[in-house]
Amino acid sequence: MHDQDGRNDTMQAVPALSLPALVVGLGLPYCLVIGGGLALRAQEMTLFGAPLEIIWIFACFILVPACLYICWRLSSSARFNADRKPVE
Amino acid sequence: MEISVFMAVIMTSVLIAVYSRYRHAARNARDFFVASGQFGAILIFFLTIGETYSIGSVLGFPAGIYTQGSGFGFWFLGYILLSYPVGYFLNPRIWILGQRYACITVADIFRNHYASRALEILVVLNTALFLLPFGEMQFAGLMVVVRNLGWHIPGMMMTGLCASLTLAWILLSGIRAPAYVSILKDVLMVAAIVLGGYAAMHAMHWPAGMPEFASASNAGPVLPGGNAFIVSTIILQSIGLCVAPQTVAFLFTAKSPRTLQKNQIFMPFYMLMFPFLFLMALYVRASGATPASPNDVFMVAVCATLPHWARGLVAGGCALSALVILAGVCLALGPLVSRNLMPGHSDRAQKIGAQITIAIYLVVSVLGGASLSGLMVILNNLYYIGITQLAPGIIVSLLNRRVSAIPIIAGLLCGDLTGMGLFFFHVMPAGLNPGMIGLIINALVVWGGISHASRTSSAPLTPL
Repeated sequence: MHDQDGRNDTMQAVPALSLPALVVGLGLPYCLVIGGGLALRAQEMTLFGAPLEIIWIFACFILVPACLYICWRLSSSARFNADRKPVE
Repeated sequence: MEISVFMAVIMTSVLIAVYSRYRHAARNARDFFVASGQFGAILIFFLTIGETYSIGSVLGFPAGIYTQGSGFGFWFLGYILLSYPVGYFLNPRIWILGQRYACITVADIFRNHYASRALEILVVLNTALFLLPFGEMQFAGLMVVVRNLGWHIPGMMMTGLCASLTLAWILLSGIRAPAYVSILKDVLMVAAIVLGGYAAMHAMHWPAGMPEFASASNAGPVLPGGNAFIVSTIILQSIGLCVAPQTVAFLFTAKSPRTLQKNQIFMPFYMLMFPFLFLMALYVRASGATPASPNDVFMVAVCATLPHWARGLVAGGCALSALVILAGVCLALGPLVSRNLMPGHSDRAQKIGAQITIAIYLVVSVLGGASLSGLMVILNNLYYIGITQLAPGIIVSLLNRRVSAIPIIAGLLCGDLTGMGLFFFHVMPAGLNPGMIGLIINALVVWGGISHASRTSSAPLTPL
């Protein structure tokens, strides 16, 4: 075990902030967790003994990484396209 | 058997700490506190995870579910989960700022960007004050574990030994010790919680035997302020978790900003242990057991469902959780005092000064932990009310505008005073978390100050 691992795929600059990245990476997770949680909390229903909003938050453990992964891909593809743009 | 397994876990952690020194003896203060920014994705992942899930999380989550029902779970899980998207955008940019100013602490950012000694001191006082209860919380949690296992060890002796162990780790190899040990700790915690959760599920025949108590109408007292309080607390703490002094210090251990960003994508998966903790809380309510205090819920479930060897494993995992967090807090606090509060010393003097500060902090925490009572969540709330007030100053520095320190100082003071004042007087305007009100006032003061300055001589640079 070393301080550094074998991966070298992350020695890149951080992409500039863009509106689509902020919407998918920040706005959507907040809407999913808070919006979804509040909506289900109002229903006062349970599934297998657990309140629905808690089940929903558990589901968000998968949905939030999915949002961040899409955001990562958006940034990567935007930079790839920028790199391919011919210099005039 | 319990004690043998527990001792084996502790001894393994000591061996790992020694190994971390053998691989990389800390050469200077920067290497000691932030590993010279050499950590790769795996170590950063485990260090960050290790510092997020303390013994307070493990004991506090089932305790809150047991006493306050689903509202507590919504808040608790929501803020941790949403800190990852915030960190995804914030962490790599803070890292870049840290590289630019060769930072070791969060106060270094404020000193270098705003060129203000007064602001630096204010940030140190603000963070040190709110870090104090954090150490005590770990020891209080440790005492809960020992008490429930029925070990006849005086609490003070146990916490004293743990504090000595933490100090030994830190003196051995600085930040590398908790980073390497957190791998063991994180694996152990997941194993223990999954085991406990599965055993609880089996014992109450879940989901076939759905417990009556879990219905929403029978979920215990609701949180004060209702949904407004829950949502404002989630937003406040999801930001606070990312600007906490120890979190910021760990960012500086990373080798690259994209490593930090990529890690944020995978970190929520570690939260998949919480459904098992939830099941343990349900089990305690279904079984009709009466824990001595809400903080005992986790250990009551562990003792009722797991064999002796597994209890030792849980105790070891809990102890490491407390110690890794404690080591992280110590390593954030030490340089804040020796480097920021008393600047101008040599590299060696900074390191020694930090080690003395850490020793004093550990003694104070051991003494405080012995008399700590009530739900740990109360201390947690106080912690975030103060720590999150750093956010506006950090965000302005990320925007890279040349602004005076005065609006940042004014904002920080207003935010702290408002948040703390409302908290102690139990006032929650519109049901919002007092810390959130403080943060809004803080942000407004900073924004007002910057707007005023921009009319005169603001010179924005390239945003990070």
